[in-house]
Amino acid sequence: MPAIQVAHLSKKYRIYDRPRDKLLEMLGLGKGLLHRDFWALEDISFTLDAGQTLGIIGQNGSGKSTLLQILAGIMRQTLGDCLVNGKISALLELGSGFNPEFTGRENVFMNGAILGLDTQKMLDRFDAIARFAEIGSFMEQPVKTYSSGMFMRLAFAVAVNVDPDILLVDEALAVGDLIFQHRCMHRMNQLRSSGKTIVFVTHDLSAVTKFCDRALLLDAGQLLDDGKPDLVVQRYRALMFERERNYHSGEPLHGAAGNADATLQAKDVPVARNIPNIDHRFGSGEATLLGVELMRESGVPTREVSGGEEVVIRVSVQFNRDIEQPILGYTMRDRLGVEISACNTSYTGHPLPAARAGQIITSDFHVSVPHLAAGSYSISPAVARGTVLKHDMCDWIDNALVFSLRSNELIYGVLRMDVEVKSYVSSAVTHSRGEQ
Amino acid sequence: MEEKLVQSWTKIRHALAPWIIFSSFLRKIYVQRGLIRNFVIRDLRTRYIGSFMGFFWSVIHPIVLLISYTFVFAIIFNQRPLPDSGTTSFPLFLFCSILPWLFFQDTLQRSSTVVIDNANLVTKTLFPSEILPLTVLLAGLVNHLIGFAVLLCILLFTLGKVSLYILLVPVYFLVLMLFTLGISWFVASLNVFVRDVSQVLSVILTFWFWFTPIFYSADRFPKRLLFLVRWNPLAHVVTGYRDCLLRMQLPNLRILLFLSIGAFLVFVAGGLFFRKTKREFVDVL
Repeated sequence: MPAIQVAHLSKKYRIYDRPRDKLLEMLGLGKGLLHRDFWALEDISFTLDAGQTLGIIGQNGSGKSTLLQILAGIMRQTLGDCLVNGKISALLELGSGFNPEFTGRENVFMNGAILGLDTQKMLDRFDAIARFAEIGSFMEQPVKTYSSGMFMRLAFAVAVNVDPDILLVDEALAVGDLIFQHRCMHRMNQLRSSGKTIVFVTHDLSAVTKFCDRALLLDAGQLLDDGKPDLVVQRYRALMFERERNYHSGEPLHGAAGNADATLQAKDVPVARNIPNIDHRFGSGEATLLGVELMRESGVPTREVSGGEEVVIRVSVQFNRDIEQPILGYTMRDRLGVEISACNTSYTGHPLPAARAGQIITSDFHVSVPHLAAGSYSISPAVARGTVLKHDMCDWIDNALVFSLRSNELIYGVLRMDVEVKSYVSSAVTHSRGEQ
Repeated sequence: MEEKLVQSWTKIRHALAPWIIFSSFLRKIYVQRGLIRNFVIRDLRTRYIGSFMGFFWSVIHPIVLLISYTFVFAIIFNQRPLPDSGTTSFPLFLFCSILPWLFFQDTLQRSSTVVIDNANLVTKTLFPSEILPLTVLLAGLVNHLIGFAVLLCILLFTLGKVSLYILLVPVYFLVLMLFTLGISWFVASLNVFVRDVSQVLSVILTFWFWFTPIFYSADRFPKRLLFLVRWNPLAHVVTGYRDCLLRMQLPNLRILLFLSIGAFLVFVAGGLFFRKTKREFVDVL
């Protein structure tokens, strides 16, 4: 049974010039023309199975929080249906209902009551909550004496310990110190693996790719994308990039032309003409990526590399118009969509000279593969116009090439660093007391 | 024939609809009794927490009012209660009358802003906002009971006895609670949409206070203004309190009956109004 079923959900806000218009209209006294309509959500449909984790991303004002409020049952939709199966705990604002004059303990019980737990149930959970919040003896102090971090910790501790079937979280994870953030993530993972359904709204895109089974992209009240988190996140990044570009489009692009190589060697290297995969592509179209290739030093294409190996990433571009300062580059991501490293011609100190329309330029990036954890990685090539700090994207392809990285040795964490170890024994010998 | 039956059945159903809605509304409130208790305790403690005198303030305030009014009316204007008032002591007369009024006024005034004061609960949690005016009322009830206990002690000391009619006081008080809660629901909701409501309310309450026979018996009202007393539920409650406690005579039961019906209707109407408007709170707050 799906945990959440949303069908053609829309939310209309009525914007009133004066608050009393709202009242008049509600009582049927107005002429019905006292408001303007604003659609915060339009025709949203999705189904979420029990046990899934859903991330909702989008710009501020895109309707994320409104959607969450409707899911929580706090607000009513204007049109459409919203069915929720299971007990919901909504964490829309940390510490709603906390009273600064009361002690932490009193607030915990009060908050529990607001979330629908009676005193006995709260007594059973109190120890777990106290342990989670880890505020020690402050539990018996008025909340007004807390630091903001302690306050957040206590509020979060209550919310995740009420044992909901469905947990709704709005931007609440980005609080507290690092240790606490880890604990929150850990607790969320626990809830997840115990089969709870989680919906969370966040601006932390890497958390979405790491943590969610699925993501929704909202924009201006519309559901733009619904699918695998990494794909949705890419779509969102592209959208943001587009917006930013339009915002800056009035300004001229300039910057240090640098020591651009006056001319490029004309050399007949084979142009890469293969684009194995296109997850998402965007850009102005002033230049077109022709292909990307991953090769060994010898020039043999490969999809399998190992740490320490020398490889070449080749990117070929055709220019559709004259471009003063072209940049070619790529970014490398792991399978969760986390960016590992990026590089481009401008960044390396070898900026490209101006390109003419029709010209094809190929750049080879000679890379010594780092000792990364084994797994699959992707390369997203790009061509842009401008400088590293300020540029227009001409063409960008997400995850154009996927390769796997083998590792012959055990790697802890993300990568193995080259470490030289030197150990010494101290010359001063200390005696323990027993020997004297 | 059959058609007629169906018709009358539909009519009955229509007539019952508000009551069915209202009773489910009441049931939902009942389910929240644990939360209500928490809120009342919190409300009482917030008012006195951190203050040196704590709970005594709830006694001191009425006493200060009592002394001031007594000074003005009994000493400066030399007012005495009418001969058949059951007491010659102005302070006692006043205390008995002002007690139900203070309950009414405090509850209404605090209810008018209670939803806004708890805006973050209403917008950020699944919160039954209809309990808010009720918690204010219940917190006021505690104060009223303290005041009433003090009054009883004074009565016993000065008169040496109380009449059996004192058993009717809880009836009056229940009626007063229903009436107050009904209006509280109205003003609490209205003030969310139009913030001036709490200001308008205090203006109305000032008039209402002076037009209610609190310092004087209703008999002193000029004839042509008597309708102000007749249609004023608070006047009947205040008079009822005095009848039971001071004059020690049976209050007018016919009036009490009408009063109960009226208060009950206000209670239902207020509840339905709040229930209907509360769904818009989140959009406005």
